[in-house]
Amino acid sequence: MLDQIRRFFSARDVLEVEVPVLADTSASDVHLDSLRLCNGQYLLTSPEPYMKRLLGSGAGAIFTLSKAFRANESGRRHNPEFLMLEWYRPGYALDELLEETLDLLLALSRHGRDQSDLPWPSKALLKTPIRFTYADLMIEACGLNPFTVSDDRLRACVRSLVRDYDDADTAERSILLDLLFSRLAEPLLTKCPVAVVEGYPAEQASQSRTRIDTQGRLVADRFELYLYGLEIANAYHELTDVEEFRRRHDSDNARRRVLGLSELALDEALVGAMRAMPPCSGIALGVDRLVMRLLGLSRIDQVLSFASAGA
Amino acid sequence: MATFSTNEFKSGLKIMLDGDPCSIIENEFVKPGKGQAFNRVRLRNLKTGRVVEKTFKSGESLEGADVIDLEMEYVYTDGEFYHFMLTDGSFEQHGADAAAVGDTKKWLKEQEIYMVTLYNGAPLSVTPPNFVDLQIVETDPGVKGDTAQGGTKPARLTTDAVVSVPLFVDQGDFIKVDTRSGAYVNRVKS
Repeated sequence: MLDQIRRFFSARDVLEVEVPVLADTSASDVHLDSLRLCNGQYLLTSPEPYMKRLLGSGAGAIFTLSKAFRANESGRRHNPEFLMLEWYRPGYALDELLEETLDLLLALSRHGRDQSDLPWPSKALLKTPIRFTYADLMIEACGLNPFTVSDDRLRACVRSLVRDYDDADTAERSILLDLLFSRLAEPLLTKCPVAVVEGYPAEQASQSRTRIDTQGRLVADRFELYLYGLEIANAYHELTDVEEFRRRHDSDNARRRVLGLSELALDEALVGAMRAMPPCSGIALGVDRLVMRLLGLSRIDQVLSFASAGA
Repeated sequence: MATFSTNEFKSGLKIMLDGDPCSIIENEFVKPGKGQAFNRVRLRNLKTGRVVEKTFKSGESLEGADVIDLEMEYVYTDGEFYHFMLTDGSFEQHGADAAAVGDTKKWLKEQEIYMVTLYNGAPLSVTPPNFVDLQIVETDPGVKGDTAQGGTKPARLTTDAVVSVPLFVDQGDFIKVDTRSGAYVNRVKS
């Protein structure tokens, strides 16, 4: 399968690159825990910063198959070490990148099993994914619009729909929305062989641009691809506005302070790269999870030769 | 007592929840794409035996419960407490009340080994071995020759437990009983 991924990109003139997994700083995302080594370096949570530095130096379309590491992520769908396929397309809009991603899945279809409970999607399904906006999915799942709902209604909704959660009255708004999304909205996607979620609130933009959607809301220019409710890939129309990047980094660190997490230094090399980067779209795809869905399996340890304890 | 972060949750871990000691049965890690991760946990309340579900924000910590499981030998009852003795040669004894012994009362036999769960040093629950051998003190007379299939009849054991036994089994016989189902397994030599 790795061989076929490489041939897919080679036929499209996307250059394979190799980047370090060992770095001096790590992603500032509040909800990502990096593994830190005893010499102070980090194992990267994603090859993104190095890929962007290559883009900034004019590498053009590139892809990498790289190990990524995330502390404390262990479960049926998570292993702390996993294989990430990440690629960048200068000049591409998100829709073009989505089309290419679906073409890749199509090219890998001969590895797919259709006899399982989760049969590999047909060509027709892969060509026409069901598209949801974050807001519509939340409205369908719990009847509230995440952009406009009042704090009181949000808390009442969590109290009645997630009865086993005790902090509905005290937790922050973004955490309650994440709770509703993972407990009620994502499960709706398990019925869809191929689904795309887009239009995330701007606070969840991470390193993507933001845009104003058709209803005048500020949303992140990103999408996530799901196969039977399992998140397979996450794509950004990449942020190249350095000032905006600094602002988000500072606000992530402010949140980290509040939560008692360690702050992270700004990756100045990445800032420089962002300044030189062409407009582009990029996507990260979890290869182990893709294999899970190709084989119709439900646990990540079933596709890893050596799973971490707890996975 | 130590505290445990959700990252350390695994089945069998004993933690305090709403003032009661609980044992984790299942721990599921869920994380939406870029958001907050949660742990959805199924726990057994060790006091009531009831199973509850709870959702925690990943990274939260809970206090550990001072709960240990020890193999102990049943010694005697004084009418109020059931006394168990450690099998490690220390002769240390603990008295369990009727609530802690619960349904295990009908499988209590002297010199048999039980799993006694201690909470803050006092017995919280007593788990019998999967099989115990007990004597029948009362049943209808045995029917000779009927050793194959056929009916069953109730038999009362020394512990007052009543189990269904095949017709050929006699008063005074020792039988092996599966304590999980309360079912007769076979006749054993005394």
